[in-house]
Amino acid sequence: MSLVVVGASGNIARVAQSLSSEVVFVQRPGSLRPEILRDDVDELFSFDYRDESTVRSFAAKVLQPRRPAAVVSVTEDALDPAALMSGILGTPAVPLAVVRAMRDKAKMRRVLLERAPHLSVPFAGPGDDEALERLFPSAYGVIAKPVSGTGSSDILLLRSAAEAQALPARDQYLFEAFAPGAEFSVESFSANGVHEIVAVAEKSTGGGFVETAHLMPPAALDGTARAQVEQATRELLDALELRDGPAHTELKVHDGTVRVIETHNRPGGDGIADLVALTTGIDWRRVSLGWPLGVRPTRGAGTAAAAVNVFFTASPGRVTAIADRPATLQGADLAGWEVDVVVGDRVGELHSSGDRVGMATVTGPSSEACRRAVAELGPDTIVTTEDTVQ
Amino acid sequence: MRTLILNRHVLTWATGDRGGHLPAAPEDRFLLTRTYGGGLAGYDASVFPHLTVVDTYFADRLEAAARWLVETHRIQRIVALHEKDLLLAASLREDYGLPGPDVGTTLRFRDKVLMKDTLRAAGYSGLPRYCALEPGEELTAVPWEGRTVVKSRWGLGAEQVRIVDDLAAANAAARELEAGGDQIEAEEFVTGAMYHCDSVVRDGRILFTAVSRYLTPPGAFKPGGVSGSVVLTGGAVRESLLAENEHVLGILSPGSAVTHVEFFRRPSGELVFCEAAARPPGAGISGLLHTAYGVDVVRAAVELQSGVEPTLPATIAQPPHATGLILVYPSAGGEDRFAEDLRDRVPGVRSYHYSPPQSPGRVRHAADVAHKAVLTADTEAELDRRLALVLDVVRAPQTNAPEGSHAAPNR
Repeated sequence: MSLVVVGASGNIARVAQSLSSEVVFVQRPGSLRPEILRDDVDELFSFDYRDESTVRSFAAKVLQPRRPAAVVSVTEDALDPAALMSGILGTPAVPLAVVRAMRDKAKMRRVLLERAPHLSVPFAGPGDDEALERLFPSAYGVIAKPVSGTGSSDILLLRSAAEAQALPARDQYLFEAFAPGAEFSVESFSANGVHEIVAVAEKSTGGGFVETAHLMPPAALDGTARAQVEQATRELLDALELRDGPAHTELKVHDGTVRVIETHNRPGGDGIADLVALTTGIDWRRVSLGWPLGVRPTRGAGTAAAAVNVFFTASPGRVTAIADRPATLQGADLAGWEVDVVVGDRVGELHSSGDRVGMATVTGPSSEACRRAVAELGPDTIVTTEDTVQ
Repeated sequence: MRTLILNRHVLTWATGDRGGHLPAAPEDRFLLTRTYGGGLAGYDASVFPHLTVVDTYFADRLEAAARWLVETHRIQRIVALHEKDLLLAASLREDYGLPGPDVGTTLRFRDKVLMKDTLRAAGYSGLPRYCALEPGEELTAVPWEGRTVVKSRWGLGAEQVRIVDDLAAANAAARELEAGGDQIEAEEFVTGAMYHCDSVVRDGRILFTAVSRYLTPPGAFKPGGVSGSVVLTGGAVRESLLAENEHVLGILSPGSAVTHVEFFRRPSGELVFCEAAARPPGAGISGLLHTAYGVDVVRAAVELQSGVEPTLPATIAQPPHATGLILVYPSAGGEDRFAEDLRDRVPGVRSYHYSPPQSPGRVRHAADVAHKAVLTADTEAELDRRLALVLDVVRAPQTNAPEGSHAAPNR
């Protein structure tokens, strides 16, 4: 039986091919090079899968006769259509309502308010002007984020109700009281409602709340706090009724309290799956994609005690120089190095993940060692830019 | 004009360089193709942004995908060039009220019994003797003498054709072909040379016809074998074939299409209908015609199915040279290689294409060729000499040959 994968990257496509002798790829036009298809084995359908009626007819008329084993996705904007198709086909999957409660940040807040209010923060849903007024003044400001945003795009820190009122497309934003504290992300795997914590990472962010590093395991989380984070994750997933599959949950810890920032029924992005593999031996992409086929996380010998993905950033301007990959790092190893720009490219303001200019993966004997190596690396000095007037 | 392209050919052959055969803008092209056989050759997402790739081995999957695409994208035209896709395209057109060849028209060019029944009903006299067989029916007698051809009513590429000497062998061949799901006919084996007439027809009016003689019958493909065609530029045989072709097309009524009609010519000079198809000819013949006349019959077919006037030269003159196509099938031993010095060693080579065998040592159908070359010469005798020279060169051991680019099929 075939496996249907929605919104695959090249990496995910290869994982899918390792899971099934036949893969049906459902992609947005131009998002997957057809060379990756296995000859006379894999199939490809390219269309805008964000259109629900198109997805429904596709599932009923094209997929139903193929009787696939499962429809899966680990891509944010494809989680909803994958669940929709699974529901129509009756294949194992996270129910659509659960996916939507996790993807829709306002819905997630409402569920949390009802079932686990201690994990939430004061918020105002889209169009709820009264609640929005009540959020101000707030000690740390108010976060505005698109209800279905991804990649840290368009997240704003507001200081006044007037700023909120002035936002274009204000009715598509969720407003939340800013939660202070250190931020962590949790990779978890659920089976029949039992949530296994696969790994925890410590997150660093830069301007515009764009993620600039993920350190696994966290350096700034003692045993007690880690237990709190794990417990909070389980309560959250119970509240949202996620019973099966992977989840990536972001939380903040401050003065002994844990607040949920957001959660998704997929593995974390930014190469977090590679950190999981390095530190736990678990092939997290394979588990996340293959769980409806029975694939489960199996801990093995990780190749490193700690690992970090650190992203390179640069000031806006024209790229004038790019540092060489260092041959060695003090007390750590450089496991990966990618620079996404070349001299002459223009770098913009850091507004989303796509504005980062490269990435390194560092492994070491401890999280502290990784952290020191990242400081030595200087991720904001790898790419040099020169301010230019356009 | 939102157009669905059902493709099983090498993509660039069917749609032209960067989809240039198609009168539709890239955003209006919906390509349904396969990986196998170059179905994605030269694929460019900017040329075909809407891409669907299926395993065409499963007809039901192909049809489900095609129907969904037509419904979802409100397709206005369907283009299909491969014999196996013509009926599906016609069926979709009828079901969704789209212009272009309908099922009735297409059947007259697909069902080898129906096409002959139609010709016979119209009083056409140039038919071989033939009979359709019901499933499991045993032949107890045939109204002809000599050898018998047993073949699928729906076959293509001369793949499902068996030539047998007696009734026992005929029945065995029928059962063998039936086991593959085919409907069967039997007809007399006609001795004589074979010819093909390739035409561009617009609203029933023949705009262009090329007459060519096969070097060997299409059914004679075998490992290491040779086939091909030579264009007839004049003479009584050509004139009689033009008339016969016009007569046949007048009865079968393709509407607007490129057609490929085959005839036998008995030693007595009598012409006998073999079969007709409403699609461009395969196995390199389109390249032969382009060299001889400057007419791109593949482009014309795409344009006709798209509902626009076919692109033809303002004046189509008879070619000043003798023009021929030679096809060399994969060798039994699988030692085929690109003949890199062919153009140096054979004068008049106008095009040469090497396809690494998809099933080494085996030839699956008449178009499953390894070497394909189009040549010209001042005289027919010289052309014959050059065609023979091509054979010598491609059969000679090759060195430093590039690797083939086509992946091996899974089935």
